[in-house]
Amino acid sequence: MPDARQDRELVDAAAAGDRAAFAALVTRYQARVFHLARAITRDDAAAEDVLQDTFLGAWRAADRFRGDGSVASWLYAIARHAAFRRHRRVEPTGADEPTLDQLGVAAGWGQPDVTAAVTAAEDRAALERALATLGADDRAAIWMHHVLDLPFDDTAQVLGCSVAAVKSRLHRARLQLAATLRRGGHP
Amino acid sequence: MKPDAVLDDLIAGLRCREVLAALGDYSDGTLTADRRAAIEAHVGACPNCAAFGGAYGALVTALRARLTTDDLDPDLEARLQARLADDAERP
Repeated sequence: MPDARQDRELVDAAAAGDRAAFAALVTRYQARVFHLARAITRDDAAAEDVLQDTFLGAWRAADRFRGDGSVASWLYAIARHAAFRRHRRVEPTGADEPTLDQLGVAAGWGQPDVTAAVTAAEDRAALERALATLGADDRAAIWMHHVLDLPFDDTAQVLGCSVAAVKSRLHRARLQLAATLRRGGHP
Repeated sequence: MKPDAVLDDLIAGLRCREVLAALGDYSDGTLTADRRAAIEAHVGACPNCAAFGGAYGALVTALRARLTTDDLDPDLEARLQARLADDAERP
């Protein structure tokens, strides 16, 4: 994960009009933003649009960065908003949300094939297909926490919720992911 | 059997559903030492929670190992740089 203090210095310089500093910030975060955007949109072309929107937005808003969160969470929040603005797919609703017990059993608790999900997850393509069955913010939470190493408080800031809500979302998402992998990728 | 009944066993002072609910925090290392010890006491005597806890931890490890932020395609990076260079809305 990029150094937070250096990130802040780059944003401060960009806010003063330093394009080289902003280019350095882009280099640091472009792959992270793209992969987060792709996780949310599930579409390479849409993710590229989001990538451009994010850094154009960050350049224009650099002088308004207040610094009450990390630069990383600021960029990821811009990317998430851009992704939802460009990609308004209907996501699964919580109308029939299973209980945690139901999710646990579906994920393999007490079942003879309790390790089936882990075996399936060794195949990245299968893992990505299973991830695609989750809601957009569940996918975003998994990417931010497990791949981008964003702390819980920063993840909560990006998602606009509490740390407790992020932890709960992540736990349920992992269980749902395990259940989908255990069923061979079927949600 | 309904899941509610399946996860109802009381072992070492905790029910399986309490362990299931705490598994995320356990995996993320955000439990207090006392709570962690209580979970481990239950898991040490409950084969179902031990097996599931191990599988859950392995899935978290697989997420970190399999999902990576590969470098951008050079063409995509070039299009981004060109788009940013074109933007002159802010000095």
